[in-house]
Amino acid sequence: MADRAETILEVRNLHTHFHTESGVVRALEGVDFTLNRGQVLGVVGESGCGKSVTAQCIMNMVPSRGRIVDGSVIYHQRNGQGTDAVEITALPPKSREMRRIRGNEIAMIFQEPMTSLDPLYTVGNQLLEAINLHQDVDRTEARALAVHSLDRVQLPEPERVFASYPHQLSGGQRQRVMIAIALSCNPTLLIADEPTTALDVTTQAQILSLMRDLQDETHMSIIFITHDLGVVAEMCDEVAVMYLGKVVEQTDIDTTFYSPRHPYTQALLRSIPRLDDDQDRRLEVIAGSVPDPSSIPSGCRFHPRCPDFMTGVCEHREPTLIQIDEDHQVRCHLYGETASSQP
Amino acid sequence: MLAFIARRLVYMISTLVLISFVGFLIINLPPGSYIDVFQAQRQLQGTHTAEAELEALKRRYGLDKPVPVQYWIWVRGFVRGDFGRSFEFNREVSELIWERLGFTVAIATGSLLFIWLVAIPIGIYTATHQYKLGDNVATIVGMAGLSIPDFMLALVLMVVIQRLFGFTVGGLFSREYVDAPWSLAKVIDLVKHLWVPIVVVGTSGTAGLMRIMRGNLLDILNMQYVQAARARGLREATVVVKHAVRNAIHPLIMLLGMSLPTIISGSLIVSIVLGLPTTGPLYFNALRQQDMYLAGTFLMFLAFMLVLGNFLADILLGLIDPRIRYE
Repeated sequence: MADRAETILEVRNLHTHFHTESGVVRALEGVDFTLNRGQVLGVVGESGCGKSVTAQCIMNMVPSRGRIVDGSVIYHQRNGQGTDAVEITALPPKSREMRRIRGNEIAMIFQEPMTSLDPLYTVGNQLLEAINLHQDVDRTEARALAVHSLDRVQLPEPERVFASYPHQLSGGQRQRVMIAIALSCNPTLLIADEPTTALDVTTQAQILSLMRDLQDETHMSIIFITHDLGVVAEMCDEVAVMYLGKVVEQTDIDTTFYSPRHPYTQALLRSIPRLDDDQDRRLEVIAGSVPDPSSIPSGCRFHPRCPDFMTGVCEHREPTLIQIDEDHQVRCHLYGETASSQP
Repeated sequence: MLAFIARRLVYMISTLVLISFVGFLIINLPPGSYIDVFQAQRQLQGTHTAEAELEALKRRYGLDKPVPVQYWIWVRGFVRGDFGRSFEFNREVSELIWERLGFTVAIATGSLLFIWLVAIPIGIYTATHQYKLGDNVATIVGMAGLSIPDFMLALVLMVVIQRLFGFTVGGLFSREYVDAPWSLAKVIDLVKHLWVPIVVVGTSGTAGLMRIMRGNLLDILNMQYVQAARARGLREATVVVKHAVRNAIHPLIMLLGMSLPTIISGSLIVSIVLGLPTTGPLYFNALRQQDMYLAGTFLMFLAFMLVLGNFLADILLGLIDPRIRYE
């Protein structure tokens, strides 16, 4: 890409709450990150930290009990000469404008390929849905496009797959179909919500290499949601680390792996098992467990588990996002004497 | 699909054969032979039966022959539409049922249509507007409909209509039309009476079906393929109708199959309360009076409708769901 620093998506201070019978669940409490055109951003974090909700917010598809209470998602849409900033979070979820972005500008693939396709319709039917919706083509052209996109994700016998029902395909094949549907309308941004988690290791590697090839070919931007740091190392240019509904650190891939600053990122990296390790050594773990979202710790949410906990600071004040380098943001008191001036 | 239908057809016929054994057994269960019972019944009514008539009956049912032969005669008659004779009415069972079948089917199909046409849209609405005002209202009304017994609702409606509009709604016709030949006025009179049992029978069914539809649809709306369809940019109505409702309708089709017997059983209690000339009260009496050929015939009919309903539901599910079709 000519201009590497052209922003395509900005997520600012996103707060999303779910109103349930047992009270308000604050799923997102400050998600910030920026994605540049043509880049792959990894969003990592433990289960329940809000990764998938973040994806739903970007698609403006938060489940009915959830509400975006603060912050914004801004998508920079190309329009020939420059870009238009579209504030996705300001659009009504069911509006025409939003539907024109979904599937066309921003596409999404999901965690469970076994359940992402409607069992009652053929692959072709569901693929044509997307094509007919976003592209001005006649029936034969649409069909040709559909078969071509199945071919593009390296499915053998695309014609046969086109006429198949989902239950006739394997998990890996279904995920390829999902990718084909997502890419059929040439989106500029793809959100991949743990696309390989449910697949076996061999298939996982195949899907990842396919996604990498497709990214090289199309230069689309990808938000890759995962809890697998190995996948991040393989796929991503940038990494945003989330903990309990907040982005705690965002930086480029090398800095993430070689000089992470947030204690949580550091702890995550220490807990990766290594093949060259002494076999008798116990695996490193992060002390404690993820707190229940209804009983969030005061101050910094990570303080009860943090090895660098500073008594008198961390449990009282919430850290803000601190710019410690041009492309490196951390939400931690260790790096912000200035934070003491904040209320 | 053809192999699928053929296989279901074989199941259906073998089930019916088994049921016919049971049906025959039940007919023969009361003590004494058919002739004894018949004679006793006649005597109770104060009439005498001629020997010749008894002989004719004996021959007709093969009562002097071994039991398997009797069974065969009964089954053969059944297939030809000869269901035996009612002791109580001393008439052919087929005539008795035939007389009442028209109204029974009319009321039952009317209420089935009513149930589906009302319950499905409300079910869809409440699921897509969960915990909103409309959902809460529908839930309360539905629960009330579910908890009020249908005979109670029938009685209340009768009283209310009588008081407010000044006409009676018991039965299917006003007095002057009961024996009158068919005419436009008689049809209008029928329609005026028919809606009451349809609403009464339909209300509780509607409430139940509405809740089932709502529950299923809520489950399906959380499925990933519904989200995926939405993520493609489809209109919300398309997402709901094409991808969610069609997946949520499965258990309802099974339910529809199982409710097929009600088409001929004719909502017993409501029919008695409203004095409707349906088959329900007839069946009820046959059981009370040990009118075994009549009761056995009903039993077979109900079983047949149930098996047929399941067969049709299976085919319908096969049409809707490729996973069943390609099994």
